[in-house]
Amino acid sequence: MAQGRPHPPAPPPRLPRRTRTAATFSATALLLAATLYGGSALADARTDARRHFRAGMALIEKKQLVDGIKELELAYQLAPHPNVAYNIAVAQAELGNLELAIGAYGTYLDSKPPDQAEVEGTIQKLREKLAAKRAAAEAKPSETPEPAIDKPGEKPGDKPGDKPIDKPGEKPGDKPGDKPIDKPGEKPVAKPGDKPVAKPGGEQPIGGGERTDDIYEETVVTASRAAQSPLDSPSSTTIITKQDIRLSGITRIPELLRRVAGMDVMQITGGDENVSMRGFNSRLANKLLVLVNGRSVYNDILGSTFWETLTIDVDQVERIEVVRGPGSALYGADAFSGVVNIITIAPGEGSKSGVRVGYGDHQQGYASGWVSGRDGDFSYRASAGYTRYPRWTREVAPGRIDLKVADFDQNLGAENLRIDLRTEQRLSKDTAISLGGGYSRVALDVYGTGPFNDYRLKGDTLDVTSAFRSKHINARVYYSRLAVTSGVDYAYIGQSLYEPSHPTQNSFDAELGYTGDFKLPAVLKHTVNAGVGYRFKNISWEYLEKDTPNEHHGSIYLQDAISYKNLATLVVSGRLDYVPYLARVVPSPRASFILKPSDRQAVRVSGSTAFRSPTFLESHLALPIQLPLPGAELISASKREDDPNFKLQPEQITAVEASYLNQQSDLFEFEVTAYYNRVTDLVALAVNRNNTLSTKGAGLPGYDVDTGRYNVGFGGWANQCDTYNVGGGELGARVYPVEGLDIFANYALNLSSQDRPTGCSVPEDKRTSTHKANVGVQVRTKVGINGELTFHYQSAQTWNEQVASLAGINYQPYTLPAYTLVNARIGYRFFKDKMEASATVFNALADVFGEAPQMHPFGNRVGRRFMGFFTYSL
Amino acid sequence: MLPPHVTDQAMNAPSDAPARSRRSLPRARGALTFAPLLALAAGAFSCDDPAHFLNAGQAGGPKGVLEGTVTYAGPLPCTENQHVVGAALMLIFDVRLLPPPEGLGTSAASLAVTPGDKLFASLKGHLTFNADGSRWCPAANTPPVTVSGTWAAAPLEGATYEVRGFYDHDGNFDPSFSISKLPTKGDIGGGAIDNAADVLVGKAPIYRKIALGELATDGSRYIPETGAHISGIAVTLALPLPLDTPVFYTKEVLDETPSANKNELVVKMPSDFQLKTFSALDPANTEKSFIRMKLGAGVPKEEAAAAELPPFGLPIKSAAFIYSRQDVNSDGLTDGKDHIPDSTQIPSLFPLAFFTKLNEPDAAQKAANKNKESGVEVLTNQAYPVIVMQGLTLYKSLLGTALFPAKVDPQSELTVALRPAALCIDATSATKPAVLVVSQEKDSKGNKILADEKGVSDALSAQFGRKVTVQYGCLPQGTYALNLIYGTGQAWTVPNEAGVCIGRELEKDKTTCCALQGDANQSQSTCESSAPTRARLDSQRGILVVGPPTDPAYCVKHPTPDTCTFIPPTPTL
Repeated sequence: MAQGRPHPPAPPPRLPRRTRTAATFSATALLLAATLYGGSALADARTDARRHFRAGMALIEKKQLVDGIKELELAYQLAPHPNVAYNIAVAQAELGNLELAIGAYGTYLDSKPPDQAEVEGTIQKLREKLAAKRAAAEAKPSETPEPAIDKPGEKPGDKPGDKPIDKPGEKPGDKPGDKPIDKPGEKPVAKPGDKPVAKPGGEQPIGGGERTDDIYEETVVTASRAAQSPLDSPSSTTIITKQDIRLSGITRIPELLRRVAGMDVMQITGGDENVSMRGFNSRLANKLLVLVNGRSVYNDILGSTFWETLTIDVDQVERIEVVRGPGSALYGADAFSGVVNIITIAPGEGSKSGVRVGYGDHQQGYASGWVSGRDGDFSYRASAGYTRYPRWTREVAPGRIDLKVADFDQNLGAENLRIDLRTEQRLSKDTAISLGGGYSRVALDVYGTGPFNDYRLKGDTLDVTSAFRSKHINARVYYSRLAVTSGVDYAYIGQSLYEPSHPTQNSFDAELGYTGDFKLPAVLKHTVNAGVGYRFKNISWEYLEKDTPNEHHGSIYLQDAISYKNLATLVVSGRLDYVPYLARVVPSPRASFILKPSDRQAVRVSGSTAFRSPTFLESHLALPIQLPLPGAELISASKREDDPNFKLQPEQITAVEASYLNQQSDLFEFEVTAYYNRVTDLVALAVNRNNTLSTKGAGLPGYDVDTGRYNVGFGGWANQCDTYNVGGGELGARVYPVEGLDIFANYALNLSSQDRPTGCSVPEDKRTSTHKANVGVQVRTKVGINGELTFHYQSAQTWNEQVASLAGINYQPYTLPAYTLVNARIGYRFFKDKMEASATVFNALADVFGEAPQMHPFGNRVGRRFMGFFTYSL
Repeated sequence: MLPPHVTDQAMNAPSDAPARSRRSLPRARGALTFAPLLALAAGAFSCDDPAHFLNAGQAGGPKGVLEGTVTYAGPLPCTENQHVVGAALMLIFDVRLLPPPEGLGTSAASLAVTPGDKLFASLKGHLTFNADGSRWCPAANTPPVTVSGTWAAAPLEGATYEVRGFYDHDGNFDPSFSISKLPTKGDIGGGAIDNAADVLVGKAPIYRKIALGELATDGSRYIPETGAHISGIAVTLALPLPLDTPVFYTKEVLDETPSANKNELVVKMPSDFQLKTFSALDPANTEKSFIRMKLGAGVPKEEAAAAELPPFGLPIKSAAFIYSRQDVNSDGLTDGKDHIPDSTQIPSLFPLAFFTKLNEPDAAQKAANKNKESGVEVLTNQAYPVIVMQGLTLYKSLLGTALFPAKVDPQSELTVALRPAALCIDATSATKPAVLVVSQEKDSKGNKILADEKGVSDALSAQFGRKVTVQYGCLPQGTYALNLIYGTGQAWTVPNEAGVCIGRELEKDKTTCCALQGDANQSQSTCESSAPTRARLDSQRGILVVGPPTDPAYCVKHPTPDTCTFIPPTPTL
């Protein structure tokens, strides 16, 4: 297939020594930088590819086509992308290297782009032209065959494009870990930015112009529900790239999120990770909306995200987008403090197949296998995997005779056996339908609220998703299910394990969205995103009211990004959500103003609101909580028998944010953000309302015939009476001093205070670290060695946790000291980069400077873990 | 001894695992460079169980468990709403805090319940469940039955316990309220008794002492790392209780002392109170020297209707005090040896009377206590340390008491004389000495109050299982509740919830309490018009106040002992 194409390009030229000296940030980086030279390709070098791409396109813009093509070839070598091949083809055609242009177009066609017919037409024209030229040349054998575009001194083979873009037999995406960055259909056609390049003689080029879109630039789809540069995003956005994921060696998605400035990540058990943004983390953290390809994996029962129940693993992840700040304006309830969208590798993309297996101390286990392919307009990606994380520490000591222990592996934190299949059928250039689903069989050890520390879950998750996408209309329906058996892991003899318990969630979502743009007036471009949504929730659990209702949620959103000459953009968004529990519509407005002093700088100011509607556990709880006096209980219920007019209100956040993002340089980029959040009506366990003779006189029974215990009071939930004022900021930078070396660092400041009205006795809470910092070094060498070293620091915290005591649920303060995590990975690629062996250490300094850290007052001590991996991919 | 986490790891390590492998992980420090990483990763993999760790503030630490069977022998239970009425209640008492009359405890360390539905499951066919849910009770001549069930109580601290229990036959037990958390007439009493057979023929029960946990060097008990678990504790419930709780109210204050109390709801006594006359030779004036409270059985007539209705349901239809002599020395006989500590001539009579000091209300509670002359408006718990002033139960008069007949009829009135002496015990310590503080060494005529100081000390030491010393000084100032206690353990306390709007209640008007709405930690707590209400019984809010001394200089010279003012930390789980 690739026969007849030019040969592989020569190794990239050595970098100048002065550039290498820039890598003086750390001794480790220097040491590793020394290995950057010689050998084969660097892997996962999106950042380096982007640099070459930008340089190449700039050269082409200046009509320095030869050098431009060289840069594009280097970009393609580092991270193949069909659009780069396309641009090489166009430039070669412009140079008059028709044969090379045809070869490059052929490479482009290998990706089976939606404009295949159009490009085939171009190739045909080129062939005809080539034939004509050859015929002309044969007619005039004495004439110089081709225009002497080659620079003086160039040797045969030096001419750009003399070599094939791919190694023989390889196609884009064939190399391990290589893949087109975008779906072929995403940017396949000439766009407004496409510039037909006129031939020097004024002859129009055959085919379209080069595609100037910065295809290696990170794009986000989450902030506006459409692809855009972070520079244009109405919210501060961070992307965790596939390179970050692979080089880190981290297999837990929440741990990957830790490197994002402003994220609060805590591991409570080996299977319970809680993530929040800019504070308010908690057991069963519920302030962050987590999506997988835009599909909500929010747990409607508890409001939390069980990260270890996902049907995909990090090997299937293309990138993770993190949008800071309230996101209800587009995503509705629960996008309270931010949105995390996990974008998986699209069907047909990535390596054709692969497997990664890992094993670590304390019986950590990881396995992932995948196949991905394309047949005409049909593409698919299937993956299966297994994960086992042990507890960091275990709650039940051996030999305990005062406890009864559930039938659950006391060493297990999380176990996940999963399978995922996604398919897509292209209907036309711009339209496609997709169908897929995932299933996972999981066992988890998590920490709930109140007395439900060390809680176990065992069961299944499932989703079936179908979508239609076109240039302007997107539609999606999906069904999600979570069905587990659960209970506390252990209890004193005579105390309840809270069984039987079968939390089950069935939800069905339907979404219809529109994207389009128009000009009104002529100088203002409007990019409109609008949509409607419906979500059906069917929940059952023995802990909830027997008549827990099905819920029908409805929503409508609209966003208009009004741009003036790519200089300034006003983004106005708003959404209305109907929340059945509240029996009303909740509005969520947002406005952002983006000023772009240059193409790669943006100053953003935004204001937004969001809300978190009460979860099913919060709105329909009906559970007698056994007290330490085993014959007594507290009725923990959402419907208050002692206060029938009570209704829980949604949590509210109002935020303002200002940020500056600079991607001007190819050597570094940075962003600085400042924000203020005002948070009210936080939902917490209600302080006990002890039984009174008045309530008893009203007929509320003292003896519960169902449990055989005496009710001594009422609990449930309440909106906290205090208001949180949170101010802070984030500063993040990423530096690319030399090819193969990335250095990133960020810092987050969080200052929180509480306003308490008269009579409000909620204690002060400082659960969010005032200071958090990340520093990391990523290295990719041409000798196959690659790796990452990261440091994470967060300052001390003081949690005011609600705990169960003889008197009921009370606040108690707990101080957590500051801690530092040092994580590292080293890998070695071999066998033509198809195999890789790697080793990771998590929390390398776990107990070097004291005891291993706790990330939550009741959490496990998070110690050091080693793990080794072997990867094979085609 | 190795630290627990070390032993845990050792216990969890596979027996055939090389020792070096198990230890290599903790020593793998400072893996700062990639180079050692691979080597570490290769060498450090182990399959050890994760180490054990439990935060100190986290539930789940080692505790004690008591577990056993409960055997019920008595009448068939009633049924209502398709369920058996009542439940078997096992009250676990720390022997240091036994309930009166043996001790000074006011609440059990734990409560275990065996529901009537479970206990009588095997007899379901013999029970009738009315279709309309109304209560059904067996005929009086229905033969008694014997059934068994199981129970367990945890978490418990290391201590020595007694298990006492009863079957709540009428289903009116409710541990939330002091007025309903003790057995009533018709309930079937018992416990973990060593002499069950003797009890059935009328002897006093000897409760089994159950030592839970390991013995510490200071004599206390603690729970070892593995927890503590005692099973097979047999509880027998077979004694029908013949008495109703001694519901009372203060009918009148008899005070011929300088205090001249007239308000029966707030009886005041100075902390340096001195008896004018305390002499066995002058019983009439001795009696007059005491502040005395004349108690009426039940409630006043005007409150009777409300008292009988829910949520009180007080047993006052034929309310009366049942006098009997206390077997002070527990020899199984009630004779001349069973007398009060301060006089061999005066028998100790049931119902015993105790004044127990209550916690001082906090600032907000004090502010809520607007009318200090109408009794207490804020009901607090018993204070720490336990401070008890034992009243003297009089049968008609001091002389009448000395001449207490072998048998007396139920009485509608009872007189309690206030002894100016308080016993201060730190109940959280098994060994800490207690103090009996007596306000004055002598009466105003020079007669010694304690003729046999050592004898009193010895008697109290024997009763409370620790050294009790006698000191003369001002009494601990504060608010005291009055408790009347029968030999069966049945008791009544004033003030109580019937007389005070408590917790999440507000006083809607002089005779009504209403339930608060809103959240406890928020300002919007209100008593809305739709809020549940109930009657408030004024007679049930009377208190004794030990107030400032009449002679402050005396209290400077004879201060209240520290033992009476020590406040231990708030107990936590």
